[in-house]
Amino acid sequence: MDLTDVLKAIINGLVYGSVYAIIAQGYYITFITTKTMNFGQGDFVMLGSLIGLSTFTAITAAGMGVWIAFIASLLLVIIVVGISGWALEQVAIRPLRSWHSIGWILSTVAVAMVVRNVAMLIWGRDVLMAPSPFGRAILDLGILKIRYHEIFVLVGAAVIMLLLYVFLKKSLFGKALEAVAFNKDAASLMGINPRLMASIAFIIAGTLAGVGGVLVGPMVHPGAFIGLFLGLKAFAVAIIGGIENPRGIFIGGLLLGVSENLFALYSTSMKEAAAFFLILVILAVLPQGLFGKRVKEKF
Amino acid sequence: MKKSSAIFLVGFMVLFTILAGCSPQVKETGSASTSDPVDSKGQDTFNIGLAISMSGGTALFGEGVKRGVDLAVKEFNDAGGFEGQQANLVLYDDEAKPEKSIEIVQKLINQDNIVALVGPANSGNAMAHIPFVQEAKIPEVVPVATGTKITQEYKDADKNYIFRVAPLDGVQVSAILKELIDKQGLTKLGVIHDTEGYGQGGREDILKQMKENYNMEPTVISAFDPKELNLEPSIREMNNAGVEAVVFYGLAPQSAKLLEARFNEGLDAPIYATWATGDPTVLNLVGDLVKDDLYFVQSYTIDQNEVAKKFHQKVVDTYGEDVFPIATAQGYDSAKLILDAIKKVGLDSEKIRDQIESFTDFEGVTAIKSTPFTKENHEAFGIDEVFIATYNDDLQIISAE
Repeated sequence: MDLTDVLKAIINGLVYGSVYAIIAQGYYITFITTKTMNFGQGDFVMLGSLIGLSTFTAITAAGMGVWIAFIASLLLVIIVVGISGWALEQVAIRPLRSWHSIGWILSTVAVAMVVRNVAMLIWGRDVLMAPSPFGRAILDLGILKIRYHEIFVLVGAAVIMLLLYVFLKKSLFGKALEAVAFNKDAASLMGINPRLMASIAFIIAGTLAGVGGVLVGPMVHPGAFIGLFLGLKAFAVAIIGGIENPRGIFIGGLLLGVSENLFALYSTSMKEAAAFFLILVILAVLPQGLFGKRVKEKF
Repeated sequence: MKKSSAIFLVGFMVLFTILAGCSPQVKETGSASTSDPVDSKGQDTFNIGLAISMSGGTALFGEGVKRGVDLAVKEFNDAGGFEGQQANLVLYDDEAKPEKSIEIVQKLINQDNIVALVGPANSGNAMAHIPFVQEAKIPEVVPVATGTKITQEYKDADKNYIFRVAPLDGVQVSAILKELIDKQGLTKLGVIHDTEGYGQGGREDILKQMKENYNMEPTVISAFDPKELNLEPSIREMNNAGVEAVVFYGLAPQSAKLLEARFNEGLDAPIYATWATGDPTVLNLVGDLVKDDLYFVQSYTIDQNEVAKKFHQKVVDTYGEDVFPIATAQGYDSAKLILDAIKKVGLDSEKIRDQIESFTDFEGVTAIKSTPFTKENHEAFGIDEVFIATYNDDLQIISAE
């Protein structure tokens, strides 16, 4: 096997892995604050990429620059999918929490189905082409070629992850979120509104899904059905990395991306199976994920 | 709280049910071309059925075929119909779903009393509904679906009612291999295929025909999951093996991904593919990446001869554009077979079938012969009727020769 192939597989893996990681941070942030998560996260990603694609195409068609179009589509996606995250919390998490403790699993899937069907009504069932602000430009390094968009995704993902980390660990707001996760009653005695925090967590999760969608759009052909597969990969990443550890999720994402692309060097058709086999092995050895906190239970 | 959340949940379920039932709707028409839509059993009209996907993954095929059939029916009626009786096209959408296909074909046979049927686009749908067509003794001409079994199912029956005007899978493989091995004398061929029904079937056809006809094997085979986002590894496998040509077997969305991967990675060999890669969806997805070193099987191109050129012009004049030239042409020929037969033998379905089987003077716009069918052969296109085509600089599909 050629060394270039391995290098290329690793870079491809890092690019896709960082997108998985962004999406997976959405699982993390709602899980630590509310102990629930949106199983339809993948369909929010799909929504983000399709809204982004339509906005981008509409604005460039109107004759404006690609970067104006890109920023505008990013903003619109953040607003729309962020609001969707808030709405999800209102209709599928909050009413069910006190009623039945695991009802939210089904209700978030139900919302995802609604989102998928609505997307199908608007964008049809076929896949579409999402243009990148970089077009199809390629950076040719001699031994290997990388799309500028891929570099952009890699850098963008790292920046987003860093901002998120700083926000959660350093800002008062982030600390409030974590306080709610740690002890809801104590937090509310300290003047933190747990309901507001839950809403904010879901808004952030939605926003992350939307941004993930905008980034991944030009690398895949987005369509109403891509959500399931991206959501599942991201969920796997969250589990591998340890769902309560944002750094673990970032590393887990890169790990899954790279390992599945390395498997693909042997057989492209075995790639999916191999990646999920890896998950089984990791969970068998480290049930809390690679970077999850080990909790000793006493019986 | 409990009560309100219960109400919430119920309301939500209702909304969900309503939305889940929704899918892209298309206009179904019971009156594509007559002035009197209500009177479907009237004295001066008779019904031709069209059961094809106007929504779903093969919607574009459906739209293309519909235009061709519409044109054929319009010409038939403008020429006076059959003894003053006008043809009325009844179109239902099968949504690319087999169960829906069965439903609408039964409706066409039992309620609309069609004399003959055109459709469908999906092989699975064809296999699902042909038992009803065969039993009702209604001739059916398939304009798109390429599954080999469709016309073979009733091969041994007294009368086989199923005909096809589309290049079946085996013939497409033969055409590609003939071009690469017989004509160009290549020996190192790579195969890229998807791991679902279409690609697996193609892989088997390719391996079998290479073995039996040329005693050869592909140098390298790369399979990929159709949901795969990135086909660059497959392209690299081909480059590493140093193949002289790549045979690709996948549907339109995967063809688009292959071309993007080829653009990113660079491929030293030309790609030969089935007519699925000639689907305009590919062009819409990747634009001018379809140019250069991409070849695929066709039975009709707008430049193949004077008849084809004239037909293309007619489609453009009628609809403003030719969305899917080959589907429209095959749809037109499918309907024309039925309507020409009616002109000769009248409105009896069995006689129409006999006539379609025994034409010796048929004139179509595709590469169809003047004697398209025999008792043993219900395929309009054999290896000599299909040919290799490619995109020109204006992004139109033209014959490669």
